[in-house]
Amino acid sequence: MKSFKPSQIIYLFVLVLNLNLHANLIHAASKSALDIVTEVEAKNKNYISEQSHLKLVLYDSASTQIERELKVTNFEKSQDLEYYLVEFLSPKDVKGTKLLTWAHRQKTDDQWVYLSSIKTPKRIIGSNRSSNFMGSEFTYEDFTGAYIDKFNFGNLSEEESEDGLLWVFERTPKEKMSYNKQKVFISQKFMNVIKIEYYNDTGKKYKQAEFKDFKKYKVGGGKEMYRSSNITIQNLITNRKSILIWTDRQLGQKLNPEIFSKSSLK
Amino acid sequence: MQSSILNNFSNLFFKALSKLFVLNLIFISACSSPPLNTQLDPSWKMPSMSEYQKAIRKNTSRVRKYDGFYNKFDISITRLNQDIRIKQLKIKANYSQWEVKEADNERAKLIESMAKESVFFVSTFTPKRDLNNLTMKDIGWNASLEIDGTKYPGKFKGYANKTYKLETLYDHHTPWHKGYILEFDLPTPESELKPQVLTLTSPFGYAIYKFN
Repeated sequence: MKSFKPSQIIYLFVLVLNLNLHANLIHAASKSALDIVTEVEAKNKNYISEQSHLKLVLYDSASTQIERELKVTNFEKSQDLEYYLVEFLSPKDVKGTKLLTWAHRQKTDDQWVYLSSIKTPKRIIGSNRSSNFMGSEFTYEDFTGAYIDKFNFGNLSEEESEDGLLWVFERTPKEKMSYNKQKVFISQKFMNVIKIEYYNDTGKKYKQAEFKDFKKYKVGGGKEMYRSSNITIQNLITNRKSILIWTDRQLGQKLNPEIFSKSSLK
Repeated sequence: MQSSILNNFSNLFFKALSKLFVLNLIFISACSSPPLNTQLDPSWKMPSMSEYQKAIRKNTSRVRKYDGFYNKFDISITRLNQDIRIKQLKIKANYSQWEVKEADNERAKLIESMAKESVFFVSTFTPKRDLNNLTMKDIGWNASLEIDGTKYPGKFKGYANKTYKLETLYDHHTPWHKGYILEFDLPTPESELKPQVLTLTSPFGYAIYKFN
């Protein structure tokens, strides 16, 4: 039987090592979470404006429910700035309450809340953004912009679901937030987030948001996009949950940007 | 006798292997030549150039027209889908060593552009250099894109960014070609999944490019 020379064995070893290196290069070339969020943002950008009527249903741990009616208006001011205005329509005790957000691409978002009882807009500062919004499981920071520049992204993977294939990745906020990390699930069919899991400093999952009932909207200029009509957010520690249900939604309308000024809150 | 043939064969095999090893090293050093931008998040990692050029070839259609033996034009058109444009962004971020803010600004511009337009790269060669100017409409350069039975008029732009050698981004583009960007008012996510027929008219005749 032929025996191999030591140099030949080294060659074989190096060849195996090289093939492995090629395989790694090919693996590294596949898509990253950054690619996916860039594509998702491009798909959902240029909606011009969004005007919605919603029902907010709050459930406590004993499943007692409270209903509120809201009007939400979003507006794309520029490439780097979006406005969100949330107004409570009912019941009487919260009617007239408004939350105005100026979501900036790169700098910290500006937020003001207007309570009809105080009649003065109050600025929400960073430390208060993790507070719950109007008794719901939504926090003020859930109403801030989720521009991709504000996160660092982990590795991308794929998962099967009832709605088809999903992209899954973790993202960590560059600024201090109430959560330490989010695990994001994006539907390849709807090009939208369908689930977000929130993790605290100890790595424990404590909150979860699920996005359901996607409807397709045509905005004009050949643009089509999906929007969820039901968002359920659940606190996994207290078992309390809040559900946002859209009763009406219009995209692509021209709006007067003046309605998003701080002075118009009064 | 049999053992000597085996020995010869194994010697030849290992000689070939050693050459393959040297070629491998050259290939790997070529692949890793772009500098790594350590200022950016790892998700900005440089894409594999071989995979990038594969995507370019898959989305490029070429038409050459002759008048007898005389070459009238040689024009390649590359559909810049989202995958290619994001890869180009990462290549530029690494080649130019962008800082975080610049990278984020460039990504924001890319998102804005993809949300509004469908973009193609046009690489043209014509022996008559003075007529090889696609931005001059009055000499007969025009383009339209047909998707789902609707035609969209196109707009040519000179390739403004001189920082990157076009030959690096498009290996079919040579120094004898001129590069142009062709834009249509149709969002890329909406257009890229559908079959497209691009019609180009020129002072030298017309050409049809199909993308599936």
